[in-house]
Amino acid sequence: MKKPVTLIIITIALLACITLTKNRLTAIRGSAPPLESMAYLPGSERVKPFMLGFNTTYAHYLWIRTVIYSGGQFMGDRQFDWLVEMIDMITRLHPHFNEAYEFAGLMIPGMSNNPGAAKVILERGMNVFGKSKWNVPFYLAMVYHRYYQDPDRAAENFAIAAQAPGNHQGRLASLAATFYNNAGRDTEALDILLFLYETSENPEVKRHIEERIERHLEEMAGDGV
Amino acid sequence: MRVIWLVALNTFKETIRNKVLYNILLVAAVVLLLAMSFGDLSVMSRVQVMSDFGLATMSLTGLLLAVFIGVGVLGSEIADKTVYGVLCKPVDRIQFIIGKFSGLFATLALNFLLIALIFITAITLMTGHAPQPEIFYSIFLLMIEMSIIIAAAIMWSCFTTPTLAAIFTLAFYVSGHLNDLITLNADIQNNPILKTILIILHYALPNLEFFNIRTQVVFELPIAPGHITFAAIYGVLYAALLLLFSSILFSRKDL
Repeated sequence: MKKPVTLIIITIALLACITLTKNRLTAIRGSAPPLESMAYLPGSERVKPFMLGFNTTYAHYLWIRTVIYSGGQFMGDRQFDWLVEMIDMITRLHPHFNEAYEFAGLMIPGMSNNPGAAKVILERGMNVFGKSKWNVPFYLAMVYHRYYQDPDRAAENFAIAAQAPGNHQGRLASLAATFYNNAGRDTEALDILLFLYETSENPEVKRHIEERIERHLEEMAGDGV
Repeated sequence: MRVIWLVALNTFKETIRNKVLYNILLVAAVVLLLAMSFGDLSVMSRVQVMSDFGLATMSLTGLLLAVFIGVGVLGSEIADKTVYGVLCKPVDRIQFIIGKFSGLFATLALNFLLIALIFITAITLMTGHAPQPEIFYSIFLLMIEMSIIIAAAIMWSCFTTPTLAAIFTLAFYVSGHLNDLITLNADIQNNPILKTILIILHYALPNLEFFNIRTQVVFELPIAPGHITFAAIYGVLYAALLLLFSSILFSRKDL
């Protein structure tokens, strides 16, 4: 072996060169345009067998990627081309991923300009959750109201959302009644209010619905119904 | 130089006789041919999936070779005492290490050549035309990456058992690919001591992601100018550093 001093000098020189090259490479990579990491996303049904049972894990991983992707695109060119596919895959791999449905209802219609896709994903969520979660039918109702100008379907979904357990029942029942009224379905508006009044165990919710029923009856009397 | 050549030639002959090499090659060939059917996984292009799968297989094969053959090549020489027969001749220990590395690298290059041939043939058969030339840059960088892994495997086997050396080499590979995460953690770390440790780790461990241009190649995206050159320089320098450490360790080793 060579003398220790020579070895130390060679080591230091190599380390310095490695550090310089590493910094240069980091700078080169940093200046490159960001990669479209979701440039292909296979259909979830085809991916499932390859997940080896790790569907939920992959769905959560994909969820993180979706959030990062959305943030990145929001700060960049605001083109959300892959958002629908990503949310679709998450909800297929993990059908009980409530946050993903919420995200679909809130973001897909506006960001991806694709209310149709949001409607399909939320309707699938409705099949999964039924009346156990208020947010899925609520966002579906909002999609029908805002993007399809369909007060009938909006009212029906608000009514389903109002039936989900929780403190939101009073306000959602009120919203459902308003939309039924707008759709000219006054009787159904009263029905949903009465149904929720009878089934709710929360006194605060009962009080809120009671007020709404009184107002509704006054309106109906005013209209000569 | 002649001594290094002779050690390298012997190492090459020894490793190509190794059954592990053929098993790994067989697995790679089967997986690559299977990749032809995996092309259906893509909604956009089956060539993209096949290219990605093929390059990933090459990377994995290279790693397996570097670990199983790289670790054993020096460890078995020491364990079987055959190293005495070489070192009692006018062979410097640094020459022995460089020779071993060169022989192993030649085996790896031959292995990559064979896999690349299968891979390119599969793509050509499926698409009817040859793959884009950038794919060769990716294979080249994979070889540079594997030279670092071989050098690391030799370094670990200089002072520990083959089993531990294999584990260390695998850990080295994984941590090398996670180097970017270390940087991210260092950036958000408030504790100055932990931050310093993370920064040291960031510089001490190689960033093996520099050699990964698969995404650019698969999606036909532009590769940043200078990336290939600097990545190659970086890889050669890092492998040289590891070989220097190996030589120091091996020269101090009491055989």
